[in-house]
Amino acid sequence: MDLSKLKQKPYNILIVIIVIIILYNATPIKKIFNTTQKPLFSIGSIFYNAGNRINNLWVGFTQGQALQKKVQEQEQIIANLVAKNAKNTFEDKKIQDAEILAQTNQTLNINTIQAKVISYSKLSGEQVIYINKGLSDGVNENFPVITNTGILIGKIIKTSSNNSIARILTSPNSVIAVTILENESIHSIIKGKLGLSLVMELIPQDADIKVGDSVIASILEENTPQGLLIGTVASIKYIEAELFKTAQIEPAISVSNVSTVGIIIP
Amino acid sequence: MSITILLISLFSIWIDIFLIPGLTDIYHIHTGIIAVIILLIYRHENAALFTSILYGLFLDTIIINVAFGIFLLIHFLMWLILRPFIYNLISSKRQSVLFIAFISSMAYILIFNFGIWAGNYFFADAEISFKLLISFKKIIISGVLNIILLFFILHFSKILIDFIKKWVFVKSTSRI
Repeated sequence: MDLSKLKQKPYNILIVIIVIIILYNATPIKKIFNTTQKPLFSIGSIFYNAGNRINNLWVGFTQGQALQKKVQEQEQIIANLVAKNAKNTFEDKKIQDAEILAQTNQTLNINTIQAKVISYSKLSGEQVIYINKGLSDGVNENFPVITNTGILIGKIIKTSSNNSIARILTSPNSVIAVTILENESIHSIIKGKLGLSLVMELIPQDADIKVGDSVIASILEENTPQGLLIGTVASIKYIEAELFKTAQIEPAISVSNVSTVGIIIP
Repeated sequence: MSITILLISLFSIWIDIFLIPGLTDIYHIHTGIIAVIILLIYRHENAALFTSILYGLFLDTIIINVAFGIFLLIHFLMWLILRPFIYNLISSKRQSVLFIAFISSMAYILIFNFGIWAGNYFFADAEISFKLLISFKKIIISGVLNIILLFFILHFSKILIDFIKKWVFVKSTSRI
């Protein structure tokens, strides 16, 4: 190996890297990278599914597969019932007011695209899922992502021609405008906390909020139909001297178990 | 050799970004950098450089929520840092391969996450907390997981290759 050549090489390579970055941002070379994404994701999806299966086998081996299956079935039933209940109650409440009914019909008449979850990652510091639908399918940034049962799990933050990245609600930078199903006069925001849970902030001290209340997407949230279920209130933190109180929200579903999602086209 | 480098980079990406997140959502394994460390330990300097750059390029292609070029620059920088670092450790002749890999992995995790934080801070509107990305526990766990993987790769790759050769050989003769 000629070491004298290698001494010069780092600078040449650095120049090449800088040229690639400039070309990527200034020319249509970006399209080539987008094209290479597709096979990377397609084969990657096989690896992700294999990982999921190995994980299921391991869980089955350690905890008992039958028990795991039963728990998953029960979780799915609970999620379905909670989502159905939230939707029905929300619709029932809106039917009472004819003027809001028209608006509700308009907002609940959602158009979704079914998409497959390719991978789940926390590598970039954000908790994200990779989805196999992109700009060519009509998916754009800031579109809401829901489960098959209609639970809001995140929003699209980046799109390429064939794939998208959705930020999960529990991700640190996620902020969503929400309200309480049992008391829709409360408008607040929920933020992701350490990629693990959700915190509801800016709740007025006099707001009537209880443990077990359902948290739904607010009409104030951009591109998002009002009434999509997010989770339930797990605990409320009240400090006397402060203007607002905070609540810990338990997400309605664990995103790591989701394999297909719906992207709402506003 | 170039195809081997491409395959190493591709499989590292598929393992790190797809297989491991399918297995667990808690830990990360950086197979790409393990490959670079192994190549550097065995003095395949050019192969290590190109594996590192390709791995960075693939990460940039896949992780589109981080500004393009961040991973490319991080991995080039890693090669620049790891090369003299590993060579100095090897030349001292008192350090084991696993110790070198452990220290290198920890250095990588630190620089990798610092790069993501800096990239987000300067080029994206979404700011990620530095504390969330880098913690002492995370660095140690990732370092330990990396050396476990490296241990398996180093000790079982030869056995696996021999097994495959034997299996292929037996298969081919049985057909004859």
